[in-house]
Formats: sequence, structure tokens, C-alpha cells
Amino acid sequence: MLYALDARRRERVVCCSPAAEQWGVRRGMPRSEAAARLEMASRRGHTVVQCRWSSTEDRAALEELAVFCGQFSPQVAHTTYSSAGSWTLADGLFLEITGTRHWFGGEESLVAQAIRAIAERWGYRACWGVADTPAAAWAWARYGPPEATTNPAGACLPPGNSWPQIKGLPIAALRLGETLEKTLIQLGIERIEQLAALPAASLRMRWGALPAERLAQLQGQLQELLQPIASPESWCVEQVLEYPTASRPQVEQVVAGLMGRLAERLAQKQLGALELVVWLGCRAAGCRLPMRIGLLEPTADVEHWRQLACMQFEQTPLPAAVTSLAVEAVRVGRLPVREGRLFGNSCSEAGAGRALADLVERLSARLGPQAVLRPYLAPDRQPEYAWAGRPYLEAAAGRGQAHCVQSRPTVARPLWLYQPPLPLHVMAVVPEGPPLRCQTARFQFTVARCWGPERIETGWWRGASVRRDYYRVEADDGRHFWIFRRLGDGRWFLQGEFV
Amino acid sequence: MGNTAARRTVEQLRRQLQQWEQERRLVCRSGWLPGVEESGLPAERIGTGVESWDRLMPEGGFRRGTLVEFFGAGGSGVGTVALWVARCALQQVPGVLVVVERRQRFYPPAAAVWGIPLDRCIWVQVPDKRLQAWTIDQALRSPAVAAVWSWVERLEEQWGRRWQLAAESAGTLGLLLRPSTERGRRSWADMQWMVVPECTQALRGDSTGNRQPVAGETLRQVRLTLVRSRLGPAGGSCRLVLDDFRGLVAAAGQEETRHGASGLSVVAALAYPAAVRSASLVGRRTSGAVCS
Repeated sequence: MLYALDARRRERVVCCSPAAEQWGVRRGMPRSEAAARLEMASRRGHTVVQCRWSSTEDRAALEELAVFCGQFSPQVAHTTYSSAGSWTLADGLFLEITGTRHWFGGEESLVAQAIRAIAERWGYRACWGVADTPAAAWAWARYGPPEATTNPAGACLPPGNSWPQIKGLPIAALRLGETLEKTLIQLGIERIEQLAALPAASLRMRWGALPAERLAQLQGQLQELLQPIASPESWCVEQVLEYPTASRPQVEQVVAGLMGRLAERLAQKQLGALELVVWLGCRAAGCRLPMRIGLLEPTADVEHWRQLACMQFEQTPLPAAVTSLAVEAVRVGRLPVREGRLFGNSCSEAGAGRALADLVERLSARLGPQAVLRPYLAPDRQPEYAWAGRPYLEAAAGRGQAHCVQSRPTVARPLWLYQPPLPLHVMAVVPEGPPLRCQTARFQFTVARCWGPERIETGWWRGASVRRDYYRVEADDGRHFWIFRRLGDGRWFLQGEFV
Repeated sequence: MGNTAARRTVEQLRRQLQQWEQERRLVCRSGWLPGVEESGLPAERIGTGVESWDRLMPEGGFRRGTLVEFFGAGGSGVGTVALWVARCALQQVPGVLVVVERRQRFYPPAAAVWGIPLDRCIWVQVPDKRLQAWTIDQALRSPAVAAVWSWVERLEEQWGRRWQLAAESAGTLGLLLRPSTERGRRSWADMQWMVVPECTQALRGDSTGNRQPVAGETLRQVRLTLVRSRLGPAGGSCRLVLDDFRGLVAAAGQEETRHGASGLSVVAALAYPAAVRSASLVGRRTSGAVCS
């Protein structure tokens, strides 16, 4: 379920999955009401995911997908936007495949390849509609039977004869807007064929030009204007080797040469790379190995690129001899302009920024971006979820920091946290009382002092609720630990050490 | 032609000035010429804000560009003491804190309580000992880093030497947490500290142990001993009180500290009205059963 703040600063549902709809969740519903309904779903074993929706991120993701779909069509355009209460949703893409389908072995094969590629690259399950007109394709993709639109054979309507399948679709497939759709449904016009049966003049007189226009677009009598998304310039240089080679120094040398060529091209436009991909083509293994290099700020320093690539290359096993190489700048940015200093930039702020970028890039190249994190506090009472770590490269680029909390916490927490918590054998004076003696698999201690309980009951939206009584205990030798008793079954766990 | 000659002259002048600047810094650091101080440069010594602790160190603080080892067991407060030094470093010199960890136990909310600004913190999760050593080396070598904080179980000598040189070259403070069992081994660290926790019974200042628990008892107490120092005599020790609730360190029995954030007295820190009820109830029972 996605939610957002509306014009009155109230949280409302923007959209939800069909499974959530079965539990009564609807678009525009207050989030609290939807959450209450989903709680029942989670009690029945369903996984509930709630996320804050961002129109900017949504649109950016769709545009990234549009660029990816450029491999199937030279012209990719946004579909029209549907209104959802006070929000505007980007809801799909148009691909003009008139001249490209034969390159993929026909329409069905093209759709099959596209479904597979999108699932592999993005993990999305895309719904498709292939028809003579954009309006018909949109209607089928959105309102056709789900088993047909996710299947290459079902997604392609017969050329020149799509009307029989389109006419039975609901009136919403015409993109008339929520108000007009409601009016038509109240009048008993629920399917396209019912609207098409009315005289065009009557349609115009009663509801304006839009219904007649949409019908004409659907049947190909009126052309629909598509606004293609401009695909960014490709920053890729490649070289096919004369002979396959497994020699790493040779490969590194060729990669350095390619990087030099790419840097020259970027320099002409005062650009630097933010993300590089070095593709190693191994024809014998039938694959292209990507090596991704993330950068904190736009850079066109070939030597720096080469060092980062070598760090990754050392850890990349080659499945076969390399036959071709390519270096692609996936993301580029304008090179920062800095005033020169007599002593270089070593002492200045810019120099420190470059040094930090250099460190983060080196660590990310060698250990992987997921290992170099910038921690954030998260607004969650459950200790395991009270923070989040985002790859530093992403965090510095300002991506994915929507839910962070900046204020300093006001509760004492241990510096080491065991995740998952370690099972603990505890001896207490009374069954549900504070602990007296604790034993883990590795060590044991006698409790000299104890503070608590601090009750934490939360996390129902993640599935099973968390109900714990936390105690801070001091061992007889002065060490401090953080332990809890699970209220459901009374079992004890060691959660952390005040190391 | 003229351009090339001019560029060469500028380059020569730049080198000359850089050389003079380096020599001046060396003189300043060595202290050979009294009265010659570095101006406009970050502090060379990092004070802890706890007078009795600073007094134990030959230079009255942690010198930048050195390796410091803290020995102690889990739960003893060794990590907190080192983190306090990291916090002081972040307050006094520009740069970030790099936390290098192999077991993914570091808990950022606790670091935030201890005053570590998380936007100046890089947490590096390493899969093995070899990559941990490499990461610490890279971090110590970077001039953008103020301090490196890492739990190091076994330390090979050549890595110790590399880290020491790296820290020295970039002026970074290396804070290494070590298990107590590693204390006797050869080391390239400039200072070694032993952190031993003490039962908070002593903190209440009542030798009979009959006094009832009061609010603010979550204070911890540790004894800090300077085991070894390359820069001067070792052997001194002091007692510190660690307040996990407010993220403060103070000398035991001392009411004032030097840092702005740690300007609260220990007596004031003892006043936690919210904790009175539960602490007194639970503490009374345990002290009767165990600590009598």
C-alpha cells in the first residue's frame, strides 16, 4: 500500500495491490483506516508493506524504465496521467514498435523478451497490450484480463481486428477521468460498446468532446499524439579484441585506453562520470560481465577510474577468455568548477571533499557499495529497526533518505546490538520477575543490579507483533548488558552489550 | 614559450613555499622553538574534556596521527571510552569518523546518544580480517578522516606498522579496541589503555552498601589505566563515570568537565525522576539477594 499526504496534510492511500483491495482498502481512504484493515490481513498470515509515495521518485523511476525500454523501440512515450484524488500518477509507457518488431522475431517474441528483460533488470511484472492504436493498447494493458496481459500471446491483439476484444472493456479504459466515469456508470453505461452505440453528436452535446475523441482514437479514426521521452546520449566506448585473452594486465591496459577515450568525450562537454560500468564480454561463456564503479562526485580522472576498476577486477573471476570490452558511463554529471590554489587543494574544503570522495569510492569499489554505509536513525521503537544504513554513494547523491530522523535519541542503548538476539538462560526469583543469573552459550554472569522493565510493544504492521520487557543488567564484575523477556512465551534473550 | 617559462617559475615557487611550510609545521610539532605556534591549522592534540584523564597523558591529550589501543572485555565500557575520544576528535578537527566492523554489531542509535553526528560517520562492514586490515589502512591514510574506530581481535605486526605510518602521514587518530587477552603482545600503538569496569556500588559512595538506589543509577564506572605510552611515562590511572543516557563522560567524584556538551555535573546527571520508581523497586531486591 502506498500512501501520501493530501492537500489537507492528511495521510491517504494513493494506491494498493489487488490483494489489499480484497481487504477493503481503497484509493483515497485514510491511512489509519487502511492500516486497521491490513492488520486483519497480517493476522491471517499476509505480508503487509506500507510505503510513503513520492511523485518525483515515481516519475524518475518511470523515466529510467523508459530509457531501458529504448532497446525495444526508438520511440518511448509516457502514457497519459490518471488522477487519483489530489495526486497525479505516472501509470505506464507507450512503445512504438511498428518498425522494430521484425528485429525481435515478431510481436509476441518482442513482448516475451521485454517481459523477461524488465523482470530480470527491475523485478517488475509488466502488463502489456499490443494493438493498432495507442488507445487500444493502453486499454488492453490496463483493463484486459490479467492472465492475458502478462502473457505474450494474450497481450497481442489481432492486427486490424482489435475492436471485438476492446469493446467489452469497462468505460474506465477510455481515460475519461473519474468524474465522467462515475456519471456514465450512474447512467448505466458501463462498457465501451454501450458508449460507442450512442450517436457521436449526442455524446458531444451531453459530455463534451472527450468521449467522442477517445472513441475515435480507440478505433484509429483520430491519431493520438505521443510525446516521446528524449533518450540521453550514450556514453559508451567499446573494443572487440583481435584474439581472446585471459591475461589480466592486457585487459587492464585495454580498459585504461577505453577509459581515456571516454574521458575525452566527456571532457568536451565538461562532464564527468558518476557511475561507470566496465563490460567484459566472454563469448565462449556466452555472457557479458558487468563491473560497476560508483563515484561520489562527477570525475573524469582516468587514473582514478583505472584504479577503481582494477580493485574490482582483482575480485572478479573470469568465466572464459575476454573477447570484447566496453566502458559505459551510466550516469554523468557536470564537472565541479573549483578555484585553483597555489598549494593545491590539500588544505581547503574542496580538497577535503575530494579526499572523502576518494576514500568512499575506493572502499565501495573493493568491498561493494552495500558495505560502505551511512547510518540514519529511523522512527521505530523496535531496536532492530531504529536505524537504517544506506550505501554512502547513494546517500551522498541524495537518493533514498525519505524516512530518516535527525534528532538525537534520548534513551540509553547499548553500543553493540546482537541481531538476531542470543538465547539466554535466566534464573529469577519469581517467574516473571527480574533476572538473577544469566547464561549464554559463551559466558555467564551473576546480576548485581538491574533496571527495568522497559516495555516495547510494536511492529504489528510487519507481521507478528513484538512484545518485550527490556532490562539493563549489571554483572557482578561491572559489565553492563541489555536483555529482554519475550512476553508471548517468557523466553529470555541477550540483545546487546554496553561495550 | 613565455607561458611555459612562467608556469615553470610558478611551479618552482610553489615547491619552495610548500617546503618552507612543511619545515614550519615540523618545528611547531616538535616544540623546539617555544612561542612558535601553528595558526589556522586544526588542533594537534585532542583533549577529552576530563581533566584527570588528560593529565595522565604526557601531552595533555591524544596527539593526532597516532594509534591508540584500548583493552577491555565486551560490556566493560571499552568501546564507549574510545567512542568518547572519537567524539572529541570530531568536535575538534574536521573530518569524518570511520567505523570498521566485521561482526555487524555496531548500533548507530547508541553512537548518536554519545554525540556522534551520524552524517559525519561512515560505517564499513567488512567480511574478513584481511579486508578489515586493508580498510583501516585506507581510512587512516585519508586526510578526510578525523578518527577510525574498530574492534581488532588479532593484530599482525606488519599491519600495525602500516597503520601507524598511515595515521602519521594523514594526521588521523586510530582508535583500536582490543580484547584484554592481547595486552602483552608487541604493538606499534603510541598509547595503550586498559579499561576495567567497576561495580556501581562504589559510585554511590557508600561503603556500607546500605543506601537505597537513587535515580540515575544507570551510570557506569570504569577504571582507566595508561598501560604504555611512547611519548612519556605510563602507569597512571583514573576513574570515569559513563552516562549512557545523556552520552557524557566525567571523572568519578569530579563535578565539572571542560566540554560544552559535557558541562553537566555528575550530581545533576543523577537526577532522573522517570527512573526512580522502577529502579528503586528492582534495585532493592537485587542488592539484597546478590550484593549484600
